[in-house]
Amino acid sequence: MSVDPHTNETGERSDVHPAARILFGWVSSDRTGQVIFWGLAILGVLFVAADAFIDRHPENDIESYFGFYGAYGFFAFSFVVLMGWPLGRLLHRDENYYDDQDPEMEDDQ
Amino acid sequence: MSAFLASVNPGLLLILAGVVAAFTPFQRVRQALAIGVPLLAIVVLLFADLDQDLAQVSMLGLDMVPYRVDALSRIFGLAFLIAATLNGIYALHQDSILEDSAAMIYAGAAVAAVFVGDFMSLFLFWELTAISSVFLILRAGTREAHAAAIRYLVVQVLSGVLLLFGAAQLFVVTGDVSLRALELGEDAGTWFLMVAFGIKAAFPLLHNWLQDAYPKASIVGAVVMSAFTTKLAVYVLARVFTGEPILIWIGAIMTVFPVFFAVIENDLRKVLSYSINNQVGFMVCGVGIGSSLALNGVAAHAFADIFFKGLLFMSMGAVILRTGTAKATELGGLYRSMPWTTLFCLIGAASISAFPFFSAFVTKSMIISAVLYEGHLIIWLMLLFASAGVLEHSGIKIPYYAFFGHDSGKRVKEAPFNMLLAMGISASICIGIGLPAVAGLGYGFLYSMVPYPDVAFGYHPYTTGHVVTQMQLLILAAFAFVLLNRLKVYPHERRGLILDTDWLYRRIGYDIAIWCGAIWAKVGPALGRISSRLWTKAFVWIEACFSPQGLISRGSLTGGMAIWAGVLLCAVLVMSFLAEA
Repeated sequence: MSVDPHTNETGERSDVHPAARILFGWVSSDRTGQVIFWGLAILGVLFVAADAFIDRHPENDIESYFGFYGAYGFFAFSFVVLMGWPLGRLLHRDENYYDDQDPEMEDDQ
Repeated sequence: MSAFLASVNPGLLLILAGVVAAFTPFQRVRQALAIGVPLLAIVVLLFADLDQDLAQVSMLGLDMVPYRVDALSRIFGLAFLIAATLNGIYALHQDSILEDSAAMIYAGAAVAAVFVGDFMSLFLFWELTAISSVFLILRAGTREAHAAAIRYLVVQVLSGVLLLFGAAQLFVVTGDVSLRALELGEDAGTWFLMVAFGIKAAFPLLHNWLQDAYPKASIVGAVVMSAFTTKLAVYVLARVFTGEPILIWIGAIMTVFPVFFAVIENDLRKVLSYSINNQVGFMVCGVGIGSSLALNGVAAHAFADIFFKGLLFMSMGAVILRTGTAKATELGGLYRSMPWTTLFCLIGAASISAFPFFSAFVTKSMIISAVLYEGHLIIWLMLLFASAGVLEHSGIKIPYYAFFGHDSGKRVKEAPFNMLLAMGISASICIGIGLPAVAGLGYGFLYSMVPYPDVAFGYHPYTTGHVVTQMQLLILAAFAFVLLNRLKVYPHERRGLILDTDWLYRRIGYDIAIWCGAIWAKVGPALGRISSRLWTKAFVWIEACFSPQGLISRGSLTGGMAIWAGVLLCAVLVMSFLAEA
């Protein structure tokens, strides 16, 4: 008998919405991470490879580079995410930095 | 009756309904108004004659046009009215006279502002959007919401005052208050107008009111507010400053900078607020380009944005209703208990990210193509960069941290049916207008509503090249997400607050004000003592000189003074006669 993957952190059988099993039951599978990773990698390669077979009518030189959009998307996304480290260090402050929170919320922290 | 309705600005119907709702204790009546009146207004709008003044008023020497419809205003007004209907459905679970009434008046003011034909009427409704929407923030009832509401009101009213000032300046110079295309710099008033619109559109450095107020608004309030204020500003910019080159750069910067804030922000409603900035940036850029294709893109993207952004705010509102928070650090794994909300949020996320078959794919691409066709290479690269950024914060971060990711262990009820219904309809619109145009459906409907339908139908979003390049961008950006997560270099979500330029007035400005107050508390009494001493001395001296017993009144000097005063006056009289001659 397979173990129900929809358990909470304490291992108890959780109250899972019936529709969640149908719509997102696959999410909790151990292999999902691998499938998404390799699925995206393969799809990415396929779409970049498609550049060789389609006529894109590029409007400028940059656009005409092979796989430009894919490479630009990858590096733009990575740049945004990695900039999160220095920006976080520079701009991150306590939640009540402006001293405008309700007293009970401060107690929660 | 129909002739009367044909001459009434549909926004006024909503405002009237809002006023009635304010005095209606019966929840069901208010709800019927909140859903029924926008639907009635949609019918009125669809039968309105285009390109003519449907109502005119002359007042105080001003020729005002309270109701005028053309293709540009129709698509914005239609989106506003559908959004108002959906907001009415979304709010059905709650019983709040204040919120129902404020939401209707606010939506009505935005609709009315879209359909006016002169600056003075625009000013009236512009300010009404500010004054009515502030209650949607106050309704949250927290101390921080109260403070944010005051800041919001100050900024929004300032925008209105600048609009009035600019319009008055234009009127004095040209004698014309009609809402019309202007060139920035043709008159000083145009600069005031640009700043007024810029505040409402949340231009860079004028944007903080948005990230400050929206995340602190009530659940329904944030959904309602996401639809109207910024899109109203986009509409007015498109009406008045079409093709203004400065807007190209302002818009491009608007698309890029919020991306960096959104990636480190913990409050998911604040992430969505940055996302509003980012999407409005595309529209502002399109207005700056000003070509027919770009303006079609602006109108279509605003229409699409109102629904996908509303949908994302709705999903976060449902999360707050059930869990009490929208902080990424406290959420995760909610797909187990809120699967339908998860599904609708994913549809909103796919729409804003511009995946094929979702709305932004057929709308945002018009703006980006227009930029490309006009040869703005750097701007085009900025917009593409921002498109990858959108996928990061709205496409992945919002659904991932709320519904998937680390399991927070929270097991809650699914959102109420009315919220799911509103989200379901919004999601259907997001998909419906993104599908290929077949038999007048799909994006064909949207393209038929834009300002230049002929140009729109000459643009084909579903070419192999567009689908492939867009999928390259999105798939490899998404791959970057899983790769960076796998390499454990994705920044952790941390509780806390991210500083933005509002720090200048919320910290530095506030501290200076406090310092001035402290200084005044010490200097004030000292100054008071000094001035009272000086006054006392002065009084004693004046009394000693001029009182009946004073120096000047003694002896024969009084008569001498009177004679000399008479002589001097005569001299002045003679000199003035000579000067006249």
